[in-house]
Amino acid sequence: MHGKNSIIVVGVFLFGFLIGRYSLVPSWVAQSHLELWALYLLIFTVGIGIGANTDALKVVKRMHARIILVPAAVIAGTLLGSGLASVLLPGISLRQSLAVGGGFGYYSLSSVIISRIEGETLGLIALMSNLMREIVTLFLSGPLAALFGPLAPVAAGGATAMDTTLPVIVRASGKEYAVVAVFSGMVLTVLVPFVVPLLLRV
Amino acid sequence: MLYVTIILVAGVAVGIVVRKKRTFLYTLEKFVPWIVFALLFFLGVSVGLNEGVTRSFSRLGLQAFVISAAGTAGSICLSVPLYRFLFRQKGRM
Repeated sequence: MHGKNSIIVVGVFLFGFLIGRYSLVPSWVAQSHLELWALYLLIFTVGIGIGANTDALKVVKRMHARIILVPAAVIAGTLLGSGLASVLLPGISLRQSLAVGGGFGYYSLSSVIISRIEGETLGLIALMSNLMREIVTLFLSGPLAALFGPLAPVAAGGATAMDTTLPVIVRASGKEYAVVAVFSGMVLTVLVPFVVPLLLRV
Repeated sequence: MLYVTIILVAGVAVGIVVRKKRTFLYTLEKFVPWIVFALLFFLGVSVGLNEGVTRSFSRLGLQAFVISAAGTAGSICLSVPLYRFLFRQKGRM
C-alpha cells in the first residue's frame, strides 16, 4: 500500500518532474490530472486490503483497548510536533504544517491530496516530509527502540508501520510488536485521506 | 472527500467479497506498487510544470525536514509514557 523502495520512489517522481519541467508531455496529460485517478485507484485497493483482512478486529479484542491508544498517541504527538514546527517556519501556516504532518508517512496519498487542495508547493513539501519520515524509520529504528522503548519505531513509522517499515520495526522492537505495528499503521492509513483535508480546512 | 469515502467503502465491500480469493489478492498486491509509481510520476509532472516550485526547491526541502523531524519526534515522545504505563507493566505481551 505504501511505497516499495524509497530510492525508486524518488527516481520515479524525479522522472515525472523532469518531463513536466521540460514540457515533454502532451498538454492533455498535464490537464487531465491523472494523479487523481491513480489516487482513487490506490484508495480502492486500500479498501480491498482492509475488507479482506479480518484479523484487525480480533487483534483489538485480544490486546484489549490499550492498542487503540498507539495510533491515538501517534496522531496527537505528530500534530503537536508539526504544529510547533509552523512556529519555526515563517512561510508555513499552522493548518498547512498540521496537514503535512497528518500524512503520517503516507507520502503518496497525502501529497496528491494536498496538491489538489492547496497547490503543488505544499504537495511537494508533503511528499518530501513524509518520505523523510519513512526513511528515518528505516534507518533509525534500532537506536530509537534502544533509546525510547519498543513503541518508538512503531510511532515513527506512522502509517507505514503496517508494511514498508514493518520488517525493521520487528527487528528493532521484537516479534511481539508486529501486531501493534500493523494495527497502528492500518488505522493511520485509513485516516490519512480524511484527516489531511480536514486539517487544511481548519 | 465524499469521493474518497465512497471509493474506500466500495473497496472494503469488494475486499469482504473476495476475502477467500487468495490468488486475486496476491495479484492485486503485486499491482499496488505500480499504482504508486503512476501516482508519483504524474505528481512529478504536475510539480515540474509549476515554475514557482522549481525555483524554491531547497527552501521547501528544509521546511519539509523541519515538519518531518518535529512530527516524528512528537509521536515518539508520546510513545514513551504509553509504553511505560500501559505496555511494560503487563509483562510480556
